[in-house]
Amino acid sequence: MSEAVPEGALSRDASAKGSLVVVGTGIQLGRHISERAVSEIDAAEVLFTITDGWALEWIRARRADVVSLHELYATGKDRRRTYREMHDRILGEIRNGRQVCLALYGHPGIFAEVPHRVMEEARQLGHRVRMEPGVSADGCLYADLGLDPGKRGMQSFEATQFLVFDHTANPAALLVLWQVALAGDLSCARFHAERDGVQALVNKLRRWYPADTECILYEAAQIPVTPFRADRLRLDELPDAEYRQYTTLVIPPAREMEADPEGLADIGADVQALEKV
Amino acid sequence: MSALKTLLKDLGSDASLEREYEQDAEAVMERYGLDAEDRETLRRRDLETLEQRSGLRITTEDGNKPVKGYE
Repeated sequence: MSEAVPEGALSRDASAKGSLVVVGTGIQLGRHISERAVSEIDAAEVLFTITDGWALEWIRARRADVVSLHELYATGKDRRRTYREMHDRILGEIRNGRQVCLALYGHPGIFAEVPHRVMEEARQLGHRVRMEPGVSADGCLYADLGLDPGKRGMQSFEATQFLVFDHTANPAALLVLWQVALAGDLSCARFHAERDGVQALVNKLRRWYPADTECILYEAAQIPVTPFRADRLRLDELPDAEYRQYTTLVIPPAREMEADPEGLADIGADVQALEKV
Repeated sequence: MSALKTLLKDLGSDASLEREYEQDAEAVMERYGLDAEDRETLRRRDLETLEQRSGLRITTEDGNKPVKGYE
């Protein structure tokens, strides 16, 4: 009977079994990958990757035996079937007792379905699993735009999910909407911006924000010699803006925070106490 | 990797090289052996071409696509 291994713990039995470490290559090749991630790539018995062609070529120069799971994508093939096949390939090697590394673009745990699922299943089977964090687009965003999510709080949603579910925005906090170009697409088949979808997103945002609210369309720099994008425009100008698949919509805090008397009362304080904060 | 890809990767990881590139890009490109087309692409900071020539956008047609939060 296999016994689940606590996270971070490594028993002699567990070390003899297959394992998985998931690493991120960052947004910008060479700039963002951690020393540990490189070490994991070099040390793995079996190395899988799902990344762009540039990073793949760099990895292949270190490890000629790297297996790119991109080959499992195919035109017209349901992506969920592709994910299942990726999952099965990775888990199969772990169950064969191999030390497996999966290298992914950006942060390996953000907008990444396969690693979370395979880690969960491998963990349940008693294998040692771990994820090494990577630099993601949100990390670049805080640095490039000078926005501190700890200052006023932050909300973060995938744009279409924000649109079609009952999420609510808090204009006193920073709002970040990912994949805004694909807003309104429920088919999972569109990879370009459509005005109607962005307009629908703007319509929802107008519940909390005035039409002239300053927004930022952000794209992290993926190549060193090119700048990041930070186009500032009004909320009502968004439908006519230009988008790439990975453009992020950022709305800085648009109003002051308001005191919560009930929360204050629960700690024996009142609004005057906030004047000292 | 090609000379262009190697230079781009090194510019990301090496602060001294990036400073040198900012001061004398031509000398750095010469040292890395970039061909005329890649040099011109870098001079123009042509993002679309850089993405293609670096391999950043070279994936299968359905690859590297976004994951929907509701999938």
